[in-house]
Amino acid sequence: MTDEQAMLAVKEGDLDKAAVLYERYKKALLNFFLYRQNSRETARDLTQQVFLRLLRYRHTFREGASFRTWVHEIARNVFHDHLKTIRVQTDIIPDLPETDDPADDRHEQLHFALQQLPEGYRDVLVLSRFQNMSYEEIGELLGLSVANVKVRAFRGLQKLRDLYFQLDRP
Amino acid sequence: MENELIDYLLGRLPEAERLAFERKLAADPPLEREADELRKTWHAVQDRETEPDAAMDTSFYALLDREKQNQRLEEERGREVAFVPEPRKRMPWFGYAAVLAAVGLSFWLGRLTIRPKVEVRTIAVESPANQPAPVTAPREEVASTPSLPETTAPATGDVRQELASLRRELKVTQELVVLGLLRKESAAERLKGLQYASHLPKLKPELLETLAETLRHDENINVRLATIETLRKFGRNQGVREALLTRLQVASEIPEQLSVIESLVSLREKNAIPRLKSLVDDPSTDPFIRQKAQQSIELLTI
Repeated sequence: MTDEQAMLAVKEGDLDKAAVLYERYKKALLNFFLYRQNSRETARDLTQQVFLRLLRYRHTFREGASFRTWVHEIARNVFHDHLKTIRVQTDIIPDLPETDDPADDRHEQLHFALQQLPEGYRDVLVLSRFQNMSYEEIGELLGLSVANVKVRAFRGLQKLRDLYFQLDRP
Repeated sequence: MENELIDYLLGRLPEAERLAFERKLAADPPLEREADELRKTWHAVQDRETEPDAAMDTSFYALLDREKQNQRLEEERGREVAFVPEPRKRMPWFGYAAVLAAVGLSFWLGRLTIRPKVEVRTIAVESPANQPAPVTAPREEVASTPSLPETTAPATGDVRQELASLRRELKVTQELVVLGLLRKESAAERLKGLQYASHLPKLKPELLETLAETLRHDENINVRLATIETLRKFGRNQGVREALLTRLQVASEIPEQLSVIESLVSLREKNAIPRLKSLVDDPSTDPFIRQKAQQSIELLTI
């Protein structure tokens, strides 16, 4: 069963098929959110919110649409709403937790570098990595041409490299 | 070259092209260095991948169960609407009302069929015109003459009284039906009782107590969630607010906590704030609930 078939079944009222989609997308979405902010707990909650919206707004899924693109549109909206809430709550960016594990340190550095990336670059890289989206799908989701997607992916990776290794230097 | 390099790094070059590109890299040390650094960066991104945990699964499946329950209730309502198009007839106690009305109508009609005998006898006394009234008129005939206009007025009054009585009985029947269903073994029956309860115009103390007890002790989360929804409809009742506040103290399952919090916020119940604060401060609180509690505090303090 394809993602689209499962989603159309959900739309028709067979909610159990949402579990199929959850199992397929939970990891991708969790990581999608982890690359945008540092908290695993928040990433988990935001992933839940994506599936809540998927169920609540199932009637808006159109036949012929790509499920992957649709669900990521939801994920992007969820994250933007989350940012609005954070901005309302506080303008202070929370400190990153301290850790003694060098591997964790590297992860934090990478996370920090990713946060410094312009959103347009980061989106392309994250969608490419975790959703394994084609250039065409990324372009459709972000409203870009394939050529533009490739340019952003390349420049994003270059910028990430600069930030990552810059942080690695003493 | 940029296009080829990014395709190569993201693993999107077909095998033959990838090998050709690697040969190109080997012949161009600056390009190879660039590619190597970018590859390391890309691998670092890949290495940071995280696996979902069991708690996330638990939350999702609880959410799915709740949505399925909501869907079932919606479908039941939809069937009732399709079967009986008039909104008033959607009332689940319509059948009981019909039976009671039929009984009342039969009783009333029965009385109407007896009354003409009295009238005929009365008219028979009056009909002989210009004749002196008998000296010893039968007592009931004398009594029945002035009572002629009265026989119609009390009849209307009786019907009104009977209708009022029927209405009272109907209300009692509705409540009894709901109470009976809430005590059933089957969760589906209890859910039906809750659905009926939500149509009642008022919440009597006995029913409120039963709903509060269902919220406290029912082992089925779907029943408890439906109870919260029903109570929320009678949110003006102080007893309802207290029942929800009490439940907020002890509810431990995420969907239930969420539902109670949402209900209290929709009722603008500021007495929920202390408990919401303790949920925010408690490290064992689920992060989603903590976030919800924080948002709710803000909404209640606006």
